[in-house]
Amino acid sequence: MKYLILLLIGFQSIAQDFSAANIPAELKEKAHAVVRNHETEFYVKDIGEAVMKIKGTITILDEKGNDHANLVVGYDKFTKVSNIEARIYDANGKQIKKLKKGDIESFSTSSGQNSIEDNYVKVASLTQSTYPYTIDYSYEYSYKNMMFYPVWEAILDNAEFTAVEKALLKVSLPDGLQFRYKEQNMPTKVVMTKEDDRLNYSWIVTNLKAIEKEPNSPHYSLIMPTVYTAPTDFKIDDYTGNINSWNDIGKFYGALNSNRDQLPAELSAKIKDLVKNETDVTNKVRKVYEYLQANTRYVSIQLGIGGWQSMKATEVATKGYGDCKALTNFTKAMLKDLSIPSYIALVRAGEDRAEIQADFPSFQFNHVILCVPMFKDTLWLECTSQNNPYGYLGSFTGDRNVVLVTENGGKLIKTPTYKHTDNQLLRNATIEIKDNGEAVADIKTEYTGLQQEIYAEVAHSLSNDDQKKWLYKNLSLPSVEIINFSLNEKKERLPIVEEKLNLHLRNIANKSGSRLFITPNILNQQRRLPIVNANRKTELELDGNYLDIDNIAFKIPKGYAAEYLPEPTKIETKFGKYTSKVEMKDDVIIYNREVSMFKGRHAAATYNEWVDFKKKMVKADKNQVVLVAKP
Amino acid sequence: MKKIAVLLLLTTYSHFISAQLIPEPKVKFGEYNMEDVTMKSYAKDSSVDAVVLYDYGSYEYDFNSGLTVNYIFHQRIKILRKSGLRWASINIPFFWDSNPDKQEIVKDIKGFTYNLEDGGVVVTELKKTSVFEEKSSSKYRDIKIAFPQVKEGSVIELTYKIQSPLWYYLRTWKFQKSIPVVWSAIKAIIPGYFDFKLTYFGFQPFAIKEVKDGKSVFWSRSDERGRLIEDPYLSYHFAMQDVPAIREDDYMTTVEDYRSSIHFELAKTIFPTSGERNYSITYNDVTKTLLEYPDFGVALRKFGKTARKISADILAQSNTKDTLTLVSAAYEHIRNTITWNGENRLMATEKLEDVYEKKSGNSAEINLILVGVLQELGFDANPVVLSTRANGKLIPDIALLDRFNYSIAQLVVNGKDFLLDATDRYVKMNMLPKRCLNERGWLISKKPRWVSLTPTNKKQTTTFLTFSIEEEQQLKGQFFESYLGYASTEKKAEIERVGQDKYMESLKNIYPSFEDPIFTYKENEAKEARIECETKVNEAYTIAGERIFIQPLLWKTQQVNPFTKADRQYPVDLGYNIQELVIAKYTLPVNYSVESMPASISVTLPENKGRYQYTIKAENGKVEVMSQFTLVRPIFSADDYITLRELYTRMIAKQNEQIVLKKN
Repeated sequence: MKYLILLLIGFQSIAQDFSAANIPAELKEKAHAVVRNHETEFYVKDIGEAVMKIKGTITILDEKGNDHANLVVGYDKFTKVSNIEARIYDANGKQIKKLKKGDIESFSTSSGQNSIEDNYVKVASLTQSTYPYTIDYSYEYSYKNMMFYPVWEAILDNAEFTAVEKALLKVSLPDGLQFRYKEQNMPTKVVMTKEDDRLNYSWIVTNLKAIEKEPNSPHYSLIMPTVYTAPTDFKIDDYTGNINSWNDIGKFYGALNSNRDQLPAELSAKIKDLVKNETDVTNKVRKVYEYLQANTRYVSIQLGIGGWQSMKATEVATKGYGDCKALTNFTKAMLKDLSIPSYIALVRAGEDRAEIQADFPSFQFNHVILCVPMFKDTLWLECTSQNNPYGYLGSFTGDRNVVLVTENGGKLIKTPTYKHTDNQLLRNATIEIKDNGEAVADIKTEYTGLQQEIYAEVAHSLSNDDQKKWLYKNLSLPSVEIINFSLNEKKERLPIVEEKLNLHLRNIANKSGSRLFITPNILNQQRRLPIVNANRKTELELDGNYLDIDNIAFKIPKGYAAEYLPEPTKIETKFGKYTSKVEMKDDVIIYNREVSMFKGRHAAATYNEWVDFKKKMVKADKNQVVLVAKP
Repeated sequence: MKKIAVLLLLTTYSHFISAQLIPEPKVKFGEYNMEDVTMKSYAKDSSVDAVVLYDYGSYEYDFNSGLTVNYIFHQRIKILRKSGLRWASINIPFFWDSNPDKQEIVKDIKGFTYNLEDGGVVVTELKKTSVFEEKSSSKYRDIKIAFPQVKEGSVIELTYKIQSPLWYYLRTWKFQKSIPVVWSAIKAIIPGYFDFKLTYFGFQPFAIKEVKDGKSVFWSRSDERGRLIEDPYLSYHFAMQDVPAIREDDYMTTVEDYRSSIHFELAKTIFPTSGERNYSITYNDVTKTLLEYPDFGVALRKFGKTARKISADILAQSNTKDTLTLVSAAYEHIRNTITWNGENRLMATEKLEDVYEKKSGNSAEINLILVGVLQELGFDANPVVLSTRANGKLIPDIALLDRFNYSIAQLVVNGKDFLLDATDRYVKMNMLPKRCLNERGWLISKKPRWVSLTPTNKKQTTTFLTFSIEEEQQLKGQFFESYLGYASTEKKAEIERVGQDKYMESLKNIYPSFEDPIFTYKENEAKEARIECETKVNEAYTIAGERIFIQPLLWKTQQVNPFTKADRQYPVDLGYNIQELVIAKYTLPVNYSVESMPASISVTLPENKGRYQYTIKAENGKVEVMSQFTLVRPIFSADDYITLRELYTRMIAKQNEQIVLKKN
């Protein structure tokens, strides 16, 4: 009897260790929360169905860890959530609250007015205001979207300031069913076990310390311990697939979207008529693209299988809108009727998105674009934008791996990269300074490639008034009035925006007694500096890839002589190059600055070299000229 | 420039008016105007991307199947540029309940897209396949409409009905939108059973302003002679023409304070069966309603027992009868015990006892608890209800209960109002967080009255720079920066957000060339923030031959004017007064002396609303500069804008001037 009681007590304290006192000290370092235990079990029933069970015990150490106490569970047509349970414990492990059904709210995650989607979240806040406290929760998904197996992050959500005592991923499959996985920076490897007629794959990590993210790092999802999993044979709705390669990915997408590219006869005739005078293929494609841009718009409609299967081309033709798949497929259909072959390309779009795992064929995409092979090169079309220059991909989809969906299956290829000389800022300005220190400026700036994107966006989406307002903010000059401005776009394969500004400036030349002080780099000063870090851990990732050339001529009032002209600056590093110089000829000060920045990844140890380079730039950008009135 | 009032309002319509200043355009659904379809740009503002051509709403009651409000909406929009295509996706939110009798129903959705093609007009009908319903939350749903065949130049037309069982609530009519509106009109027919109070916000003139009475059959019933019984009603008709676009601007409380709109609030119901029932009508009624409301006055009284216990503890610990000490003890106890959950609320949503136990609550809960504890300590403490800046201004002449969204605590100390908000960790006693600084609040007590929310604290920073000018462009010395009033609350919130260590680390970057800086964070007796630093500053000045040029305010030199636009239509609402003082003292190198320095100046705004003062003196190898910027109004009218902007310009010019030193 005594034994039994002891056993019971012992058992309880092991199974329900909700007391914050037992967290190892090293896990509390830098941590706002500690994942005490987290289990993800993906239990595959057959090729078309799985159950995913999530269990978590997390101790929130302070207010900044509260994010982990907000339970957010997403679901859609293919996933049903059930059995959400949660309990909250105080520092001593005593239960203080149990989640009630009424505490859970549901919301649509549809991304606004222009999107119609069936994605929802259930949300429950478990936050407390006395720390530490521990939450213990569990829920279950029944899962019918078997295109996707879980991507498991060992540190929950790859969050910073979060330590992990123990976390587990288990994928369980019926005997005979295959799946694929990839381990990324995992401290431990897979453990396989056989149980009855099932195969279990488990990964367990223990005692992972909290990390703090560093600026200018590679995308954290590419360096944090992660297990990617993906199906081999699967079923979604009535479609079955088999994936072992990118070729298979393309085949499945092709099959899911086959026979959806017929145009109504009327439109087909119209398109043919539209290009009847064009002999050159490039011009034909351009005409089709212009037709698309003038007659359709992007509306995200992703309901059920519609998340991966495109609307038919006939439907786009009658409605005049569609999502990326629909509009791309529609463009493909128009080109097909002109006997111009084109291919849909699956892409992970976005400026800040992590690149896809190129060695792990699986569905890692959020967008599609169209690829039109030409005689000499390849043309890429972004079909969701009404304004995008023909053939330009830019920061949204350029410079990354995509999967081309061809009649022979998928092919992994890369979209065009924009060199640093493609992304230019070329400025020529004349600034005439009057006796009283006020000035009139005429500035012409050409932005190309990635550098023109923001200006093109401003030109398209803002009214005149708002463009002006934006320019004021962007100029960041002490006292300025915009007399006149224009933004003109040249829609080339490498697009250009030409900005013309006519300004009235005060406080550009600062008059103190008989002297006039001028900081010649008024238009393109580097001001922000990264912080020196002696213990840099991650590699330095530089995204910037550009060339800036500023030429400014200051006409100064008569009767002044240069008292001080800064020395020319020249800095050359592997990160970039900087030169600036000031000269005076008669009553004109000529300022010239040229900066090249290179995209690249560098060893962590070189981080402070980069900071030093930036410091030197900031310093040189602040150089001033001193003029003194001639006696 | 037209002078614009902050708020212009019509009073409730106690008598009938009729003013048809501009004739109503004849618009029939499905019959487009050729001029609209061929229109290339909007004459009054050629750069806008879309224009609402026609916006019409009709509100009517129907008693035949329960109490129902029937809304009819009718809208025409012209798309002028591609960026205007966003107006072709329409979102209609409506109230949803699991009980079908309590749901709103959106029905009879009809629409057309009109396009000019080859000189003719192509009409595309809106089909059901372009209409979607989405659950946005447990209480609201959206009808989402994606109009077909919309391109640059299209006109879209939409009509729909909403059948609403929420008879006590009428939707606010917004004449003004983020794009211009050519014609906007609302008609409402309100049976004599209801007394709605109408409030007009904004400053745009009416084209039609009509209130009439009449009689009509609202539900089928007959008198003894078999005749259908008519009920009296009031009919309202308001319209505006060529309404300019309105959008959020910097230093604006909320755009809703200036948007032309008509707001309905139910004041009274007079039902034959249940008689008359009053809802809030005057501010005194607001007081009465709140004092008797379960989630306000009643909740506060029920909290008495717990409050007594808390106050007994406070008394036991304080050992004093001094008012300020006791109030402070109660205030600190409540704000350190209960965490604000971020919600601005007028009333409690849970029992105050539970909130105190749970240690987390909304603004009303926390401050009602504070009121309760102060009352138990023997003070005449009471709640003050207000509307936060983001929620819009209160109108002294018109009481609307639903304009309030926040409660704080009040008591009188030494004959002056003492206001407390225990939701904020960084404000001092008798200082409200910025969100509350919205002119006035209403005291809920036996003697209700307005309470001024204009703060006595300002946003104040004081910086001392004390450096000796060393060789090779280096300075050596220290600086102190004190943050007082709102400067402190903002600074402390910022430090808390990033963490103190990280914040201090980031300070090394405010000036690129600090060398070996030692930062110290301190707080004064009022717990206001202060940062001290001992450092060398590299590349702090320019050397040219025998001369040294130095900008004496260093990184405290303001570079950019916060007011960029040439003029402004709305007031600049800062919330509080501002004072920025910098005192810089330099010890010159032994072999140098001052060759020239900026002149001392003082610039003052009309009526002394603001001032910039710069004084400089040099003696015995030392230079001392004082730069002080003050604004002594929390709100500047649109008319003051140009002088306010100019004051900044003058300050920036002066601060950028330099001292010239010359080798002896």
